[in-house]
Amino acid sequence: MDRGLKRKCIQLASAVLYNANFAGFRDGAIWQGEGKGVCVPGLNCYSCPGAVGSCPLGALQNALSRLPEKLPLYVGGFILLTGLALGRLVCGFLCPFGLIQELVHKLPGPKIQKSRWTRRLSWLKYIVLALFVVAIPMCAAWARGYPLPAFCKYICPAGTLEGGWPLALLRADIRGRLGGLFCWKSALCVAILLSCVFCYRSFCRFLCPLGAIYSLFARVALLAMRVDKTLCDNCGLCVKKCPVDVCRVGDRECVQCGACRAVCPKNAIYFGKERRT
Amino acid sequence: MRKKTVLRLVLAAAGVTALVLGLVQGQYGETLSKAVYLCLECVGLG
Repeated sequence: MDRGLKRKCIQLASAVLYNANFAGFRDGAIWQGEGKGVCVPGLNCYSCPGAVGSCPLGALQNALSRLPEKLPLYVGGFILLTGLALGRLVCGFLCPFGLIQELVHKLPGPKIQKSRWTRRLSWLKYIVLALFVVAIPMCAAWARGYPLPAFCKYICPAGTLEGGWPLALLRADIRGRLGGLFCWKSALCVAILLSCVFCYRSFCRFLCPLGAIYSLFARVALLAMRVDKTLCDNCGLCVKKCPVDVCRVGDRECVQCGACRAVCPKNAIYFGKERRT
Repeated sequence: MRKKTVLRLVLAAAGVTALVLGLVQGQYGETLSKAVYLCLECVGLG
C-alpha cells in the first residue's frame, strides 16, 4: 500500500477509535464510561457525542486551574510520555482535526506556498499555548475561584466541529441556549476550515497549542523522520517539497507526513528510531 | 547520542513518576469527572 494512503488509513482509524461511541451521534448523549478519564494523544473534544476519551488540552487546562494546590501530574505525565515516544507524529497520524484539515486542503482553490512569513507565523502557536492554555486558565482560577479553559472556550475549532455543531443539531435543549459565544466559535471554525483550503494545515501550523507542546519533543522523540547522513547529499529537495515550515527534516514544525521521504532521490530519509552510524 | 539517550531516560522517568503520582492523588477521577459531563465552554455555550 502507498505510504500516503497508509497514513490516511491510520488517521481515519484513530478518528474512529477516539469517537467510537456511535450511539452518541444518534441521541446526542455524552459517553460516561470509566475509560473516559484516559486522554487520547490528539486533539479530540471530550464533548463530542462520540468521544470515548479525554482531550489532553482540555484536561490540561482544567488541571492547571488547580495550581498551586495540585500539580497537573496525571495529564502532564501523559503528555510528557506521549511527546517523548511520538512527538509530532501525533499531528501527522493520530489527530482527527489534522485529517479534516488535510481533506479540506484537497478542495480546489489557490494554494498558498510556505514562505518566511508562514515560518514566522508558526511561532504564534506558542503564544496561544502560553496565553490560552497556561496563563488565562491559571489566573482566572485564582481570580474567580473556578476554572476557565480559555482555549476550549474561545478558540478550539475541534470543540465546535465535533462537539458544538453535532450537539446543536441533535439536542433541542442545547439549540435553545446558543448565543454570541457559539456564533464566535462557529465563525472562527469556519474561517479556520476555509483557510485550510488555501493553506495546508493552517491550524496545526499557526494555532494549535497541542502541536506546540509536542514540537518541544522534536529532538528527543523516539519515533520520527530522520536523515541517514551517510546517504544524504544535501540537495535540499526534502525541505523544498515539505508542505509545512520546516528548516530541516524532523524539526519542530515537522508533522511526520513523509512527503520528504517520497521525494528523496537518495532514499536517505527513514522513519523510526535513530540508526547507529 | 549518549546525551540524548540520558535525556530520554530522565524524561521517561519523570513522565512515569508524574503519571503514577497523579493516579495516586486521584487525578484520573478528576479528569474523568470533567470528561463525562458536557463541557459548556468546548461547545460554545458558556
